[in-house]
Amino acid sequence: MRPRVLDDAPLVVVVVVDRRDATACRAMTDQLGTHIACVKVDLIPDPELVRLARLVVSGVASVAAMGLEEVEDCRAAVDEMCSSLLECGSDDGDLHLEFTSDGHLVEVTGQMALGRDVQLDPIRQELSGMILDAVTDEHDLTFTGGVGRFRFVKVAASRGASR
Amino acid sequence: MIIASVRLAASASDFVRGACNVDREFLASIDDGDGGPVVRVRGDIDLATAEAFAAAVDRALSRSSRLVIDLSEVGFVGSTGLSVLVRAYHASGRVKEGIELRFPSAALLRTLEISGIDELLTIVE
Repeated sequence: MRPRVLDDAPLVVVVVVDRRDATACRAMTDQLGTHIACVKVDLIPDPELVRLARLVVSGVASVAAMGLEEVEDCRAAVDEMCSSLLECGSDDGDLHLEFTSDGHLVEVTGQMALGRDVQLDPIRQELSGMILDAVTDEHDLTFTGGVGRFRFVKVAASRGASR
Repeated sequence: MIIASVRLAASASDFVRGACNVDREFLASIDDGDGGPVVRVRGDIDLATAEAFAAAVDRALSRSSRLVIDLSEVGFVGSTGLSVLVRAYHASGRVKEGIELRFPSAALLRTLEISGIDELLTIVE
């Protein structure tokens, strides 16, 4: 299937079937300056659903033609970020996640309303920081205004970007 | 551009749990080994399962200050699981030989190296 942009459609859907199509997607999106993949997921605050976030980022990373180790890096990063938000998030707030790729990198953002008492496990936080430093190109986690937010970027090494 | 937008309601989460859990149901058990208890773990060690993993490690440590943790069937370990290992290291007297991690996958080995846990515990590949 060849990727197409439908001018009159409210949503533009690009289906990547194989590497040749992925290349065509990249050429198209480079020209248009848009993402070739954007997945939004709202999760109820259930720790068991973090594995779904890992699953989704694996798929989006594959769009960016990442190698196995880079896909593992994305899985590790999204797990760390989601775990931090769920650790201090509100019991009745959703975890909002957005995964995007332009074919060269993967960017994941997330946010969640905070609970009354924000307490992060210091040992886990230190380990999490080490992991995020090693597996992402950029990462940020903030807790302000009653909302926890994160963002990380992973550049596909095979794309020739600087690391 | 949106390829997919999903909101999971409470009822849907049960379905996703089932779909994501195929062959990956978490299990932590304790066997008696020659050199002490062996904690055998199957599945991912993450925020959802770290508590069960910690409980198994604590039970094993109550029997002996030296133990083996078999990671051969573990696909993923996040910082929640790593923090259990760090606490176990402290509980076992901060001796590298106190806890032996057996047969981690390549991805897991990398996580152990990134976090410096390979410096604290004995790893058998």
